[in-house]
Amino acid sequence: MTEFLPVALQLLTDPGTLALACLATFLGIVLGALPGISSTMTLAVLLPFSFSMSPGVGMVFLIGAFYGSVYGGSVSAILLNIPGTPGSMVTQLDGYPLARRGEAGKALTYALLASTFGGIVGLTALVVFAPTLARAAFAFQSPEYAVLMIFGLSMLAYASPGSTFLGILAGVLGLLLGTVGLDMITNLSRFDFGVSRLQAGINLIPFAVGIFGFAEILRLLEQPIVVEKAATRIGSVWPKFTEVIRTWATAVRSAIAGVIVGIIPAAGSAIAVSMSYAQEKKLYEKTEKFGSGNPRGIVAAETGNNAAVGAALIPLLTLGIPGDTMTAVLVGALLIHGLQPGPKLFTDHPDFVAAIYLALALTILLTFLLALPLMRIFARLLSAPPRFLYVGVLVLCVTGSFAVQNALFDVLLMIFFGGAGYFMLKLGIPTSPIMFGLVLGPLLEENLRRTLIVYGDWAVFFQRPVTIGMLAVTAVVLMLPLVDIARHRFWPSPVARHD
Amino acid sequence: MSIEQRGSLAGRQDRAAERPAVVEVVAGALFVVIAAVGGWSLLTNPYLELGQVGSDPGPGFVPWLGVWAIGLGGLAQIASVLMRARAAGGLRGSGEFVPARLWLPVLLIVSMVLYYAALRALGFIPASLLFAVPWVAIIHWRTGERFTARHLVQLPLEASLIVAAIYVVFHYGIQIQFP
Repeated sequence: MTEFLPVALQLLTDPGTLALACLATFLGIVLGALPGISSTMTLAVLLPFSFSMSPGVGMVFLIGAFYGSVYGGSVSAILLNIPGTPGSMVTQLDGYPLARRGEAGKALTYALLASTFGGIVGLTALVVFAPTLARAAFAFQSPEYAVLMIFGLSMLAYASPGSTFLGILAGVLGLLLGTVGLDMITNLSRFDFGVSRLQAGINLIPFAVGIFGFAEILRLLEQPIVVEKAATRIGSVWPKFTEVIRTWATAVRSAIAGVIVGIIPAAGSAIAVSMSYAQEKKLYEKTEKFGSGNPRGIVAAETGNNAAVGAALIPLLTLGIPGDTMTAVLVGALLIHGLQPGPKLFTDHPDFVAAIYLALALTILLTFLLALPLMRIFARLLSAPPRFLYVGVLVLCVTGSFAVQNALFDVLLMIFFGGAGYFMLKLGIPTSPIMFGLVLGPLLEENLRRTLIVYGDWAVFFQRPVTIGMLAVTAVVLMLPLVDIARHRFWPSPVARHD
Repeated sequence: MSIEQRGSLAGRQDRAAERPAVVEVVAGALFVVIAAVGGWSLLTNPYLELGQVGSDPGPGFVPWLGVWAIGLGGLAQIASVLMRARAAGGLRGSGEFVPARLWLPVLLIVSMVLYYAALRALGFIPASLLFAVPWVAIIHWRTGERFTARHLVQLPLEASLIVAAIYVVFHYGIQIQFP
């Protein structure tokens, strides 16, 4: 831990970095608060700004935007009854009724305190568990890595919203996209369709910007854009101390749930908040009413949501598997800076790992410090005309894609994937597994082929305890849809029987 | 993600009487088409033969695996939906692909392609202005607000501000050399 201190001090004492962290957190909160702009989209459109920064400073910027947007989602959930991000969909259940009673300020403060506590617990989990897991992952060789990628991909496809089966197919499609371009061993080109630019492969950034930025704007344009009137009366921002203290056990339980869910690849914040909220509702079902402005509901949702942020970074940093779509975009940022997520990051670039810890800690603090005095400004920003935002995001999608390699071809790729992603969403095909496949595909192929070259045959996958265990879990995950089909066919639900 | 959202192949069995949507068949067909295109690309590349270099299955191995997986998966999806449709008495439209919902997104995709072409021909600032001015007006209209005389000045000004701000940040801040 001590080797991290010089890096931490260097970053903390640099006024430019601190200013950048403030700006990123502010932008994150504002963009996350705007309905329709998810945390993933926020990260995707802000990512190009980090290109010119050093890896450490770039991470401070991106994690600032990431964490800020997660808190920002609760602002619109409370003031507009529209979740800014999927993770804040439960916050609105109790936050909005409280705002309608003229206590929006209190609701926002509960959300902020809970976010801060959840963020700290998530950060602690990251600092404690990540190095341990990284050390364990050091024992992994190519067979373990190959199976780990298959395991990660199946988990990510399974947990993605929408059809599990289509999610798995989308994951495989992403894997195929990851094979576009020159093969790393033989240097033979695949799937280039005669386009020489495709020989370099598909860059993650234009893909992410297209899928999570451009496609989202296309979706938003389908129907008339409704500018919601925010609850303008913020009221007092400080709840009574005794009321806050009453929710401490809720905060602790929800933080633990958030960390556990956050560590599971692709489980994501939406599941974390649903679990935390459901758990509290069950515990207090006889004594308290939820859904009508209960602060405990806000605390449960926001603590779980923010605890999952730090936890989602654990599989990313230690195993190279993104915890959710936001961390998948972060993989793109790491690759741009020439860093490969995985256990080697802890030995080869400990300063960078320190920068991530510090960035998260700094952002939690900055969100707390910025959000309280700026609450009223955030409320006003929600009523800003959407034309500014939408056109700004579109031009940013173009410039951001171009800026990756100063190549107009990347702009074309972004438009193609944005359009394709939009139509796939309309067909009910989840698009986030494609991103996961694109991230994990090249690693899977490399390790699979290396295993076969070194060990000679496939039997090696069934001779090592770790690979056997992971293959067994993967098989269970992949079989679940079939089990469901069988269950419904042979043991139909009472409703189906009635029908 | 709620249980309801997980409209999985299996999850949808819950609603035995509900007719499956046409888009579910199209989703499967899309994967089959992608697999066919991918397979054609691999077949027409003579260098991508399997098992050529010792125990290395070769550069075509994983692509072929993926192509077969999504091709067969797409067929399975179509078969599953058609079987459900047969049991439920047919397919239903989902209402997703109607001109009233699609025309503006399609217009935006076309505009973006034109924006890309204009970037090559005119450079960043003129191309971005040509794109941003009409779209600021379209989105203003999409929010249901009225147009007044002042918007003739205000909307182009807002578009120019967006373009200028992004240009300044990227060109002077990040040192990006725009076309």
